[in-house]
Amino acid sequence: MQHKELRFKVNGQEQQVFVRTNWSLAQVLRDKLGLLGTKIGCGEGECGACTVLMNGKSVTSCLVMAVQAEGAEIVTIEGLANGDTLHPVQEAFVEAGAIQCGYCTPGMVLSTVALLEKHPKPTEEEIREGLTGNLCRCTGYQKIFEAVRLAAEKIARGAGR
Amino acid sequence: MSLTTKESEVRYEKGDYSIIGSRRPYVDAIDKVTGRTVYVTDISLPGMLHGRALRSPHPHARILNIDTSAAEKLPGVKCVLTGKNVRQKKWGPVTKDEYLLAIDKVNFVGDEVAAVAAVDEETCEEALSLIKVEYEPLPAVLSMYDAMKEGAPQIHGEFPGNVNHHFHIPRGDIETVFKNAYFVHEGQYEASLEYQAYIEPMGGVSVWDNRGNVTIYAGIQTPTWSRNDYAVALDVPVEKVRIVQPPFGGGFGAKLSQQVHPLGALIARHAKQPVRFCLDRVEDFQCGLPRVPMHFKLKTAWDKDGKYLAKKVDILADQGAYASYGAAITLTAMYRIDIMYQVPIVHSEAHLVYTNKVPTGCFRGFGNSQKHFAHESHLDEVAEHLGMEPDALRLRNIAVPGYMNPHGWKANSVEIEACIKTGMARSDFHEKRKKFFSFNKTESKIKKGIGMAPCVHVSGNRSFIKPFEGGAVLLRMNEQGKVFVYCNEPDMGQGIRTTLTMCVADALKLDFDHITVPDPDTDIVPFGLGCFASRGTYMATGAMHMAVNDMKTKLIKIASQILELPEEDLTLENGAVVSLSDPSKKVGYPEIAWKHVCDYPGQHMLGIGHFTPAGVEYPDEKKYNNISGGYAFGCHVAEVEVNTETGQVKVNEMWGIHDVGQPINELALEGQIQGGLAQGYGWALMEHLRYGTDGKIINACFLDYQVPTAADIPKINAELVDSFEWTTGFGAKSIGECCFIGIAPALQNAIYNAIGVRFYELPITAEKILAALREKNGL
Repeated sequence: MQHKELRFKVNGQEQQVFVRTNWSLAQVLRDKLGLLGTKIGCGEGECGACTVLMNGKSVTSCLVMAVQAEGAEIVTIEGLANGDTLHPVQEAFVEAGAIQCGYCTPGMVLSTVALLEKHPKPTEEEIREGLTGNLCRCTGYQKIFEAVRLAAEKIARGAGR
Repeated sequence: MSLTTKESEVRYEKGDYSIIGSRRPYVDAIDKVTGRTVYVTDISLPGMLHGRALRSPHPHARILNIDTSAAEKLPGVKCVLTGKNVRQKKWGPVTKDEYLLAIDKVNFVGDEVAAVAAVDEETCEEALSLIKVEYEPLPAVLSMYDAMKEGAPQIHGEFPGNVNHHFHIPRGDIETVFKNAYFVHEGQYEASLEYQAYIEPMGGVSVWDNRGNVTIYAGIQTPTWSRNDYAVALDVPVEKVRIVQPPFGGGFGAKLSQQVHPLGALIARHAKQPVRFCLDRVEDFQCGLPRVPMHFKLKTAWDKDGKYLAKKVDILADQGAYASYGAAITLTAMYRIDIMYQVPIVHSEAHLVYTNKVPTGCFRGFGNSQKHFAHESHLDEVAEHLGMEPDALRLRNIAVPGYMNPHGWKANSVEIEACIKTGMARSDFHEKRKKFFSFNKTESKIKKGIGMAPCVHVSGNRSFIKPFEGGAVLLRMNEQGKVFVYCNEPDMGQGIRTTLTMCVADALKLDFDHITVPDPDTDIVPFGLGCFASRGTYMATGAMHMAVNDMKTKLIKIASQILELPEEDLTLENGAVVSLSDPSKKVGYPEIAWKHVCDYPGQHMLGIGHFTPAGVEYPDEKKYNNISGGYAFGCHVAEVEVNTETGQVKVNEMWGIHDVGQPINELALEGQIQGGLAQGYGWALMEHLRYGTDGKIINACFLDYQVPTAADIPKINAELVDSFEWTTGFGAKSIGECCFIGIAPALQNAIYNAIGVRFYELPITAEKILAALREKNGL
């Protein structure tokens, strides 16, 4: 098995790790960096639980090869809050009751961050479209939609960081 | 208050609640939203190895030979197990019919044949690829309709005809009623194989000590109860099995007793190191425990005013290769609904058969959902025949408080009338039916419809352990005045941790930061059955009511000594015991807790609570006796548009109106209702785990087995009607399953209302609709 050195930035910190060339980004985040907030639900890019931000865009990290992240800036769920201050999207998910078992939550939150970067005042259609890659089996999505709208308001008001 | 089960005169009154009934985010939500929650698949122990299983590629085959020599030599492999080289006993929660590793014969594609432990997953995979198994394929039973046919292949020798259970529950002279009734209606319905699709697959981490004790960190709904099953599977005494239940990513019924935990423990025992054994998604599709498919023959009798006279049901149920909870699920399908309607004569019969497919098990509704699909479709047909509105027919026959049904079940609080009437009003049901009737006469390719179905489920089902039913809570106040809650009704995302926290906060006037509900650990928590049969809220809050009162009495007693005031003058307020006559006199819990620890050296103050549902008894040999103290009711409504050119159904809106007794956390209840309806939407319209003629699942991934996404699910309105269940301290019934049960038939009835075609098999897909419309139009 080939190994390669990978240099990239994760949650604002430079990282330098040896990885197998067949490893996914999700595996490196979890097994090498201990960032277990990135969940693996299917390993096939279908459920969205492993969503992280790569250079500002949401990606399913189980489908990104680790070596593709060379030089990239990655944000995982652990890097979203500012110290003890939750990101407005995190705050909104808690307040709206958008979390049940919580296994989809990290991916769902990061997809919402990406969605609101693109559409700061999202329409119903844009919310649904933006989250269609993230499966949730507990909530029926209703409170997640509420959380997205609430987060958009919070960001517009300049809450959080 | 009496505590005997025979006593049904228990009557709790509604309290003056400050926190109960409010809307609270989950107490563990911040950990979940920041990625700090450690789930089962995140657990890593020192020295931990990984385990994987080799699975049968054949639906039915004899194992002739297994050669593991190459795998054993692979660097990084610790051990390779097969059914031939490990000691094991057959196990199963109802019927002991399954080995952890097949010995002579495999019975479905996915059956475990061998297992390995190795340093990482990749080495495990490589080792599995080196194991050579010689099979002799056997003819397979791939349809439940073939299972009982003469000459069908026999799956388990001890069950001739592939019949695991045959049930017959006759109540009353039904043939006379059918002969004399004004109207008799018959119909057949089929409920399909649906996969739970929790986002975290099944898994666990096992570790043994030198005294032969195993600890399994398991994604499990029933830690204490499943310990018994796992002990059998591992052939060890039950006290040797400890289960810790960390947070896990959803269960919906699938995560009761599972093969994955004892098999992981077996691998760890032989590896002599901790082993992580978690399924990947394809395996989880292949050998999770999806919903039991069922075929129903329903026959009902009615008078001309729509009075329900008799019901006969004949069920064929497919439990797949191994029995799991199939028998209990089938029983539920036979008669659970009989507490919703007052029907004096009910007959039910069922055959539960083995097939060479995935073992089927518990899934939200536990057979009752399958029955509701059949029965509530059927009742809409009856209403049409009798020229009655669908709600009017139901309202004519629903149960009332105190109703005793032919099985000896007694309803206590019943607000189904309010549920139906609220559902009709909120959805503007009758007005829409009129409008859609006119609209559907136009040339538009879109046809509109609205449909409804009421629903019922239990709050706990007394059918599992003869001498035991109920729940327990143990409260412990440490020397700083912090309260820990030990309970065996685990949280799997439904929010029982928050529910229990709210009850403590409300009754002891304590803020949430001083209350902790640790993960259940069978070495620590009181005995209990766990999270199934919608037990949690009803049982745990019932026990909690007694536990908080116990602790309250102790707090006041010690405060009375500190303050030198009579106990009658003291009350609880804001984390302190306060004098009613002079509120400036008070003492905080930390001081009281410290005095307790000093007066009884080292002992923490305990609050002990237990709960026995009043008037509930274990069913006799004729399945007679009340099985639940808190029947929960609801009414689901769906509004749809059907595109007659494509067959596509667009659901515009859904409503879930429920009677849950006293709501504890309204935010969580809404979340349960919305989640239940969304899952039911998937079952009704999209989901079907399908088998090819080779006995393999053809859609074992989320790309092919599509569950509803954010783009699919319409607006879901959740509402609770005013109710209080007087048999339990805080008046709360459970919601977990009832909120799933009505929506599939409501969608079916809405589609019928739109296009005048009824579908007797789930799911109702665009293809089926298009084909049916073509047939209807003679194309």
